[in-house]
Amino acid sequence: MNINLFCKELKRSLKDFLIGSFVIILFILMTMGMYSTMEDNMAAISDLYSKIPKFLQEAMNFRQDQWTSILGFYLTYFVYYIPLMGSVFSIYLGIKLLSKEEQNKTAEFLLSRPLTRDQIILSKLLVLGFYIFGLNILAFLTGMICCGIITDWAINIYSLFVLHTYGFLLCIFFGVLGFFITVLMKRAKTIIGTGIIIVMSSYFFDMIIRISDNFKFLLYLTPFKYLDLNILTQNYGFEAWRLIVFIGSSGLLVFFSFMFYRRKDILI
Amino acid sequence: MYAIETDSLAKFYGKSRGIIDLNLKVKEGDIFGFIGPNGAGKSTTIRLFLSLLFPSRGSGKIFDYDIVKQSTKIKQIVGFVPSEVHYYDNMKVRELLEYSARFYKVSLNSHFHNLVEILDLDLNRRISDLSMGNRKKLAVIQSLIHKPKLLILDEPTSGLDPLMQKHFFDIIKEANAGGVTIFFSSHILSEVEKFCHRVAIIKEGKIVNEDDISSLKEKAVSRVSLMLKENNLKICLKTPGVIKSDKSNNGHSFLFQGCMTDLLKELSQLPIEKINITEPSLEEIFIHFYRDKITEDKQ
Repeated sequence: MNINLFCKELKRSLKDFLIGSFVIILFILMTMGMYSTMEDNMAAISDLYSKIPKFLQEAMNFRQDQWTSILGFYLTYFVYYIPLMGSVFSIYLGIKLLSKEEQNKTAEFLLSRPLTRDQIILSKLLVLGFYIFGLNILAFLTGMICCGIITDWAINIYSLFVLHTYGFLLCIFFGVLGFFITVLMKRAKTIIGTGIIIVMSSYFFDMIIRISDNFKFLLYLTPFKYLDLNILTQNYGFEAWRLIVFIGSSGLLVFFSFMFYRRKDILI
Repeated sequence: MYAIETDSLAKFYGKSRGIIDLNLKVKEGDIFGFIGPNGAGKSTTIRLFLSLLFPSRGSGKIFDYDIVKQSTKIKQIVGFVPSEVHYYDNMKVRELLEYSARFYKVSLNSHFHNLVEILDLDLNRRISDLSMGNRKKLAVIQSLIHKPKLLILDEPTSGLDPLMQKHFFDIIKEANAGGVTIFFSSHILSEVEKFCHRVAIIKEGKIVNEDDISSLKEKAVSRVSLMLKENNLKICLKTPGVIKSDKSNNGHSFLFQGCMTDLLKELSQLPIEKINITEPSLEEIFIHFYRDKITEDKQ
């Protein structure tokens, strides 16, 4: 790693991180604030929601029994702020970190410094990891504090931690996927839109799988399916195979990013 | 040891050619001109030296370091001025120079302040606010802060006004006097002519000639200008080697590459008032080479 490059990239992406974190924290605060006002009428609201067609409930990740606890309520919205919004932020940052250098033609400056290609990749990936970790930590702390305050700290913090760790791993996957796509690019062009489409499509596939069993084959195309959202079940915790899927696929993308970037022609 | 040495270095972009079997040898301490028109392969060659691109075949060495395997060592001892300067727009000039210096583990010393003063660059301006000329000055300064052994200049004077060009050449000559090898890529032939010891001409990805500037001129053509006593006299020279003839009133001018004695014998038969035989400019040599090569290619 090159500390000079790492610090520079950290500074360069700080604004994106602050905006991303602000939006997600605001969203958590808004939804949890909503819970405080709904708490007294939760049974009636839950009944109202139960009249929504079953497939829509599944698509919206809502189950009738879910809102009887704060963690169940948190889970309904968690899907939107960490897996979805966090993944959009992660893929955006993953793509931007490398593609901006080629797009703005600063790659010529960077690559004519005494750095190895591996140092460049590692420094940028560490910045990506640092900000994804930072965003997830802030989201976890905000969620934990909100749930804690509402329930007077009668919550299972470990379950919340496991849920957020899965969210973090999903964000890491999309971050390195964005980075890997940029490494493969032959020409400098904006693909941030493509990245966002990838995240949204993956989420959409997951939704379809939840609605109908006929589309189970799509589970190979969406990492959302490998999130464990059963936070209300007993013995909720880390499952080795899920961790292997996330860490393994992200690790492979990182490995191939290093491999391809070592011999990549920079076309400016 | 050569500062730059390539062996059949080639680069293709898919089916399109970049450079083909480039064999170059640049001696340490030399000022080496690399000339050719746009698209000839000059920038591709430089990008191969800096490992921005990887060769399709062949090899290259800079101070005995392999351009593919030891590129980090090469970049430690090379300064580079790109043809188009693209730096981080949101940075200030001083920030960029400090950022660049940290990669080489050097500080901005008196040598640096001297360069800034000579080139009259405002360190507190944002890069996005710099004109093309000022960006070029910045590129020149950043290429020299780590005291490189080899300076690679890709069209370095574009955007600089004549006074700054003079300062720039003074800086480069001083660096060369201190032992820095200069690789000077340009399509402005007069610059190369004034400045370089040796020159290679590249055309369509191939080196068409490499020589000392003086030998190149000797081998090439002479410009012969005649003023005749009689207006509108038609002359038809038979001596082999007359390349291109221009006529205006009683004046004739042509490029000549052949036996000068034979030409003078033939000319002595004509009513000549004034004759002027000069060394051609590099511009003329360049055009001559291209014409020759194009003819060869067609044959």
